[in-house]
Amino acid sequence: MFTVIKPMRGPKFKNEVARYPGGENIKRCFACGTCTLSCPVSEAESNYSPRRVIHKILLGLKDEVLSSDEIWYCMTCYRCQVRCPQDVKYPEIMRVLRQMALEQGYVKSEFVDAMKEIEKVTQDIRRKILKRFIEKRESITEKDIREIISLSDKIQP
Amino acid sequence: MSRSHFDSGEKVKKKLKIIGFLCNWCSYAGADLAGTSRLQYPADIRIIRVPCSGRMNPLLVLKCLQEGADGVLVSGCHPGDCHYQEGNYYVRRRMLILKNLLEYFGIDKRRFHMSWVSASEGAKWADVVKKVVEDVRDACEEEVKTAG
Amino acid sequence: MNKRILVIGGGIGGVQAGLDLAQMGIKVTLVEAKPSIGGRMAQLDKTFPTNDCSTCILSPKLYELASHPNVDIFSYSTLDKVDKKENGFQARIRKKARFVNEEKCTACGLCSEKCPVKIPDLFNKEITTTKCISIPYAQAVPAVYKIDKKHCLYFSKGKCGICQKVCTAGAIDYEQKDTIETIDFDAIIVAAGAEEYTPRIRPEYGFGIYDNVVTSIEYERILSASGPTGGHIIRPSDKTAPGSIAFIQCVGSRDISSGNYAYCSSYCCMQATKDAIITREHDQNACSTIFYIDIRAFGKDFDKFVDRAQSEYNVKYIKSRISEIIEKPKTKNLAIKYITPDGRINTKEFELVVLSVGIRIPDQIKELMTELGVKLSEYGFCPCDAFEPGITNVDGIYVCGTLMGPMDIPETVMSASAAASMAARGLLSPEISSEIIKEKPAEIAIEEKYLKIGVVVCHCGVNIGSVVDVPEVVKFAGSFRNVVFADELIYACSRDSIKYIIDKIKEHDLTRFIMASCSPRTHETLFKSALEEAGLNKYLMQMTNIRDQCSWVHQDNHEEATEKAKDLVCMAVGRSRYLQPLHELDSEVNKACLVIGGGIAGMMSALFIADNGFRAFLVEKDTELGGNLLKINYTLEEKNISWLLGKIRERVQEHPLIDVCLNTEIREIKGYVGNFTTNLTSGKEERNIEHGAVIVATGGREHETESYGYRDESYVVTQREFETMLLNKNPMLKYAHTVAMIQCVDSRESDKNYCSRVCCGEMVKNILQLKNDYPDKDVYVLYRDIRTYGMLEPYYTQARKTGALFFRYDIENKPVIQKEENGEFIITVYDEILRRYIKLRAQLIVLSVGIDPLETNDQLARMLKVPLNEDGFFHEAHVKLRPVDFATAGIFVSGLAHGPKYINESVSQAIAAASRALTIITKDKIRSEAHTAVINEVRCTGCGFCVDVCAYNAIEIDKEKNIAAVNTLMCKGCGSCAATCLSGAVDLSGFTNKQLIQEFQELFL
Repeated sequence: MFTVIKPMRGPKFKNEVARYPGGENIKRCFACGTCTLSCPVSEAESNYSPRRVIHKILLGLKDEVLSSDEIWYCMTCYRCQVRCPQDVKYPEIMRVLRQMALEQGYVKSEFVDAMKEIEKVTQDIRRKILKRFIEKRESITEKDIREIISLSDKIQP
Repeated sequence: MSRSHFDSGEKVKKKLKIIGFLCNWCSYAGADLAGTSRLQYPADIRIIRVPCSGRMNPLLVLKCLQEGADGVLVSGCHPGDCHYQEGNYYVRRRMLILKNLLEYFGIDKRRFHMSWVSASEGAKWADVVKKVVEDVRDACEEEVKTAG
Repeated sequence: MNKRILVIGGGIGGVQAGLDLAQMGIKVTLVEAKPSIGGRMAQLDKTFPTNDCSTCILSPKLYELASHPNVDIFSYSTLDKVDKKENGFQARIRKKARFVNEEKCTACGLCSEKCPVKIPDLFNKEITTTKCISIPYAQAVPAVYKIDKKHCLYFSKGKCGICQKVCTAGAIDYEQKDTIETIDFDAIIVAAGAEEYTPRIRPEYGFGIYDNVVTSIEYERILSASGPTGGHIIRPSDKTAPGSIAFIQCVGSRDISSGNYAYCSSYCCMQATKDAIITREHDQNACSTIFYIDIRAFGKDFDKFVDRAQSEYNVKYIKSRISEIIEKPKTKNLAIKYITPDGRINTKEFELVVLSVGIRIPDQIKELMTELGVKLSEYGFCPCDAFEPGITNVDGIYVCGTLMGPMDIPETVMSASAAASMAARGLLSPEISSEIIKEKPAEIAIEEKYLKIGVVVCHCGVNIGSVVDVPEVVKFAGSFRNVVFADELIYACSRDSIKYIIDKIKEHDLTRFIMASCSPRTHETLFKSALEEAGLNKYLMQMTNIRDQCSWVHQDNHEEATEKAKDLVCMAVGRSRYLQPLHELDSEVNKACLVIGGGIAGMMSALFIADNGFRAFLVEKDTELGGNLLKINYTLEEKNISWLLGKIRERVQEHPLIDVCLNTEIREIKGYVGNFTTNLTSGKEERNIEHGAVIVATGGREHETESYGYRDESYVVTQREFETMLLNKNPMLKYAHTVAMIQCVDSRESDKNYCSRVCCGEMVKNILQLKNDYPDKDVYVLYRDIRTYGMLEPYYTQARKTGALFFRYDIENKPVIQKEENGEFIITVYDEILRRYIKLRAQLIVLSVGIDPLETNDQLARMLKVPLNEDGFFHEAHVKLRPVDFATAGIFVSGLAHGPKYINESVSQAIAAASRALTIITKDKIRSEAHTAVINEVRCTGCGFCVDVCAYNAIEIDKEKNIAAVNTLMCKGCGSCAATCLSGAVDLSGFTNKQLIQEFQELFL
């Protein structure tokens, strides 16, 4: 499959992103991959790569980026940002992209609200799993964890 | 023939006299470093300092053995490290041929050694001496045995 | 004028600057803060790309400096104050108390052996401990011990005092105070160097937390045969040999987030490659992986070194910067997550991790520079103009080495040599000779005398005496035929002893002298001077080493050690029977220098020869001076090259001491160091010139490519052509909305397997100019590795910030260009990040084509009898420590003739070449080696084998007599010829066959 990089009409996507607070350093990226290796999401979903998202922005693939799932994956843990040698602020850039997606009609405001809810609930589930493990101090496998999640509604707050 | 064969029988007790020709810039400095580091090795070696291992004419080695040396060691800088650009490359070739020639003469190859020891390899120098002394001793013992 | 220059810093930079100045006849005071000189290089195990032993190549330079009569070394000293005075400076130097008398200490090491206090060993990066009284390393110069007052029991508790009790030389002085000396200087060279970055600032790498994470400099010590682990590669946690080692690059380099480290540290890629190779040489099963961002193998033969690492030493290179290191609690192994070449994420465990730490300027050096009034850059380095490398904003203060920016050893050595001839301006003159003439008594002729041998056996305190039965050895020595005097001394090297030796030589009318003591490497010069004082030729002395190679290595067996010492004395006696007086040959020096090539390198070499008061012939085959620089308009640092070039050309052409020969070719060069005659032709005219040295600065040229349609397409241009288009606002630019640049065209592959070093910088330069003039244009760069090393890295960052897009391509999968009907180009390239092919549309394609050596190099090399490397560039005497010298004395190289490099590097090397040439032409006479090849004319058959093996071109066949003739001035005395001669016609004086044979024959009598 070929991706044809076309010249953009109007302001370039990367400059658009760079104009927002937090997006300033995006063009400093030299694609070293530190962000991807720092990312807890990439650890679970190997196809998710912050480096690739930045690269797509730089290439001007605006439509592809703003309509993609990827911009919603970031957990804003800031590990990538702390470790980036070029001070590219990936989590802030994601914030910018989410705002752009909303403003430019790629998603509706309900979608953003739902995202917040998902974030809250998943964090709650994570904490409960951890709590259960810490109390019992037994070795735990991926299968066990998945089982706990399937029963998660039964976990009492 | 293995060394252990002699351990119970007659063993060459006397101290050996092995002559070591060492280049000034690497091996001699390495032997000095073994000293400053107080590394201990057998006292069977007598060192002659030469400017470069490339100075070593094969005839000097033969003469040495002929005069009564139990063994000869020629040691220089590592190939590529020669203080005089390429002297050790020449000696490497010469000594390789000499080694084969010794066998032809009926002299045990173990009596002659060639090594590369740099100025920072004091420990390697000590190891080289140990190995050379052991080899030469083996060769001597074997000759005594055969002669006996 | 006292002609004295202060050199601050005793690393390789300071050492080289000091040596060059001393050899030009200028007095040098070298101040080093540490207890010994040698700097960072003394800590390295080996050097790339030849894997030479670092100590082996450094030590002779340190000894040479320390024993040079023009040099005073102040080690363990600091500068209290530096004042600017009229025409110079005044410095107050504080020599800190060592509590050991420098004059008396014999470096026997007994104090350290008996000292009960262990302290962290700073030289070994605290991997191990040393004693409270210690010397940094075995070969340290000066070889003087030092007490660490902070930890010493005598100072803290008032008891102990063991070192004083055991020191038989009486060198321990607890009352010693700091001493202060105030000295006037004409100029100052600051060679203070840099330090390593502390990876504690990046806690995610676990340095200081996990045992098995070490820095690259710590790893150098672990690799070193004389290091804390005795050359065994073992990891700190369990002292086992690691089977898998990871090197993590760019730790504290190209990193603005952990501090102000926007620059690249230049040498770490190669250091990691070297260390990985050495690791494999130690252990055939060890596997190294290097994690990098870009492999910066930009130097001469570096790419070939990296190729060898991969093909012969199983070193893996993975382009992935590491995010974090996690220790496995049980095994203490380290897990590293990385991105695989095909874009997947993988985790691998390593037994040891080496962090390739970058360099930075330490605060105390920044303070020193502020004190001196020298301006530093935002990164703390001292930046210099391209045409004035080493010149600071303060008149009379020069800098060299890593203080100027991150650089490797050869660049440091070049900049140091360059600083020497810059600082020397105004202090040299052809009327004053720089050779050292020592007053000494007239030499006694020994030919008519009987052979009388004297032997002195040294106790060296208890170093020899406690193991070897010295009186027994003396008695044995006295029993030899011709030995008329034999005695023992406690310390033969003390002043009293030297006087005693001189007296005894005179008293007994000795004609040979034997010193059985320590190593001739350190003490031969001293005892030789005693012979000279006594009126004997100094080559009638024979030293034998009964300490380093006897008492110290057979400590447990006194009887055998004594026997061996006797044998060694016996051998020395034997050899001494055939010793002959030797004399160095003096030869007049023609005080002019020939510079071949009128490009920037040649012009700068000529200028610095002439500015120092000496004559230069500048020969250029073209009709005007300037070379490649005529085609360059601006660089990253300099906006107006043609104006600067114009100024330099004007100075060269108007300089009364420079003879500019344009339109001139060299027909023939005859002669040797100090005395060359060159035949020049210009049209039909012919002339001969005479000179004492030669500098080769013939340059290089832009590579001519046929790739990517360059030959046929007018919209495919080279970077240099593109630069001119930008300057002239070429109308083609109007049409080109998108410019695509392709790096490494024809370079770093098959028959041109080297990096041209400058193309990445050129690309960045042109992007910045393009984006400055036409901000809306798009730029795509297709590259293999971006090699903007050192201070060029911030420009690369700037280029990215302009919006230029970078795509890495693989040599196996080069970009493909198609031309559309409308004249546009479609470039298809595999995007490694998107993991798919992409098509880029561009209207103009710019190629980085690199630098080729001149075809005529071969001809000149044959004329001068100097070598070329595999690629066709001139091959210097030593890649690290003699980067501008040829092995053949009196001939030097600079600029592109030596290899691709930037303008500032060419200029630095050119001035360095001038410096090296000045060390010869400042002398009235030059002196040959004493030990040289000698031809027996009767035996010689004229076969020429000796000519072939001579690395110095010192032997020629005399065509008339058909026998070999040695030029003693060029001969270095290696003896290869003597070993090669089939008719026994060549011998080496001082190491003759007879002497060597008698040395062992005496033993078997």
